[in-house]
Amino acid sequence: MHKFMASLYSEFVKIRKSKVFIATIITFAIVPVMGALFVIVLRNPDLSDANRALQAKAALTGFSPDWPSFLNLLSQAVGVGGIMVFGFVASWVFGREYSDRTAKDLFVLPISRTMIVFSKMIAVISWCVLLSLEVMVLGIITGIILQLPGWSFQYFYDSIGYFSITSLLVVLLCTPVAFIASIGRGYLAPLGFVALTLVFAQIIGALGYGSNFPWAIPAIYSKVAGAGNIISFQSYLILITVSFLGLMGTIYWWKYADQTM
Amino acid sequence: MSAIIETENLTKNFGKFTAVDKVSLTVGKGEIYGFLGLNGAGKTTTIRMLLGMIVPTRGTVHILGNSIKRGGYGPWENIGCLVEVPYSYPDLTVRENLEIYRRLRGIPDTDSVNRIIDRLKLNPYSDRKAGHLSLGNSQRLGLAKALIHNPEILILDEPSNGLDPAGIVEIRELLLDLSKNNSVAIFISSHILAEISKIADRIGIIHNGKLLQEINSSDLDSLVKKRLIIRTRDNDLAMKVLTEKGYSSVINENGDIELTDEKSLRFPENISTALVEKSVPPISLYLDEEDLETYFLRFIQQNGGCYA
Repeated sequence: MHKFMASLYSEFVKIRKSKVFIATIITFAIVPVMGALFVIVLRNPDLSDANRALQAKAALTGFSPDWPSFLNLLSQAVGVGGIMVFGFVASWVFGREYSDRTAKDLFVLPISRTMIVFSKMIAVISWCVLLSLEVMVLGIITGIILQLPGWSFQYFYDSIGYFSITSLLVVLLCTPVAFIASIGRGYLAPLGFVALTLVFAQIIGALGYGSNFPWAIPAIYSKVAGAGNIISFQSYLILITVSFLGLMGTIYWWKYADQTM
Repeated sequence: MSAIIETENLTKNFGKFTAVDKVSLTVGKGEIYGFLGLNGAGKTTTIRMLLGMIVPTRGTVHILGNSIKRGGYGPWENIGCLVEVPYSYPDLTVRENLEIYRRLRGIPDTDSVNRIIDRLKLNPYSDRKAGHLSLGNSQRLGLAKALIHNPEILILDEPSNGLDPAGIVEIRELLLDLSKNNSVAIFISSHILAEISKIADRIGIIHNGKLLQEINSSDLDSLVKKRLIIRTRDNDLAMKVLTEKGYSSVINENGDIELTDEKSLRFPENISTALVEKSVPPISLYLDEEDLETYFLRFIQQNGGCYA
């Protein structure tokens, strides 16, 4: 346990001291700001011609300037944007050891490599949870400042549930990214992988098979495509299986693969 | 001397390429083993197999009696290592990097970080981010990470890389001290024989993945080529005189007379006297001793190697 705590401590120190950590905090702060922009534009249709595109976009997503819409937007942002940002987090936590060529030191520590992978996974989860909390807290503060109508505790609790499960589904998809970062020995391969999953999620989702594609499932769950496209038990099973395989693959790689970097 | 590090027929193939071929060696307690080879000879691959980073295709590695196996848990608490160019977390200071390694190595003594900073003379840089260190100081930080837990075994891959001449001497003295006074077994790789010969008790020469030769440092002197070089105003007459006196000599590539037999090398004064007596006194007469680098390169060439 002492060794695991030491490993976890080192992961948190590495994250806290990195510029990437601050960058992700700033990036995710944009989500409530975008929501606020939608609200302001919809409330003031005659602001300027430049806002017509935003108004059209808001109308297309069924967004209205009230609490239910605003809270739903936060879930959708995590469901889609989280794939990219959380994927980036996993890419960095695992890939940086190879890019910075520090991985070789981790393989000769009196700590099992499985334990190192688990500490890294916990660090990724903690970082992603923190980003999700940031979005939710800043979202609520923004909503209060904008004095959005339509507040209901029941809807708020439901939204928190949707938001949390969407975040969890996205976090679970970090394990395949960690695996790609490990076998790709750096950031580039996993970032390319994340970009590809986003493209495929769009295409497969548009074809109506999104509920079977792990990287489309969180967005569908967050009702990004409307209430009609509901995911099933099978969808959860697919996503969890992919996550499990990602974790096992990463552990196997760290434990058994030749480390020639 | 009981073996602390022992490899038997250690072999690594990458596809059809054999990087390390049946390397068997041992390193005893308090011994410094110099592992010498050109770039690409198989030094780093061997070191990675010793450290369990690469799985051998064939053969075994035992360290402190523990078999180093695929995915296994080695005696890492007793080993300090430095593999190729040392890298540290660039966003963390020297002290923060070492603090992380103190914890990861389970060292309860919080003062161990200060001690190793002192020992490696990293004090002026302790609060500098590792990403801003010079190559020499990065190397010192790498050595500090390898030594922070006072290991019984040190496995070092080219530890003098990037160090200035004073730094090289300092690290050499540190390693000699660890070996002689703390009985630390040191396996050190390098491509510079002259450097290795100053500290190693035994030297293994690896080329094309094969361990070609193991030499005791004390025997190095007898292996290097020696020749007596003589220049006179009339080399033809001088050679005639030498032949009459029973010496075997040749004219070398510079037009000088060259003798390599034991009698000439041990008693060059007799040759000088003989030449003076026959009125062909030497303008110059000196014992030319092959330096260690030349020996190493000649040895590699004799064994089918190419270093050009």
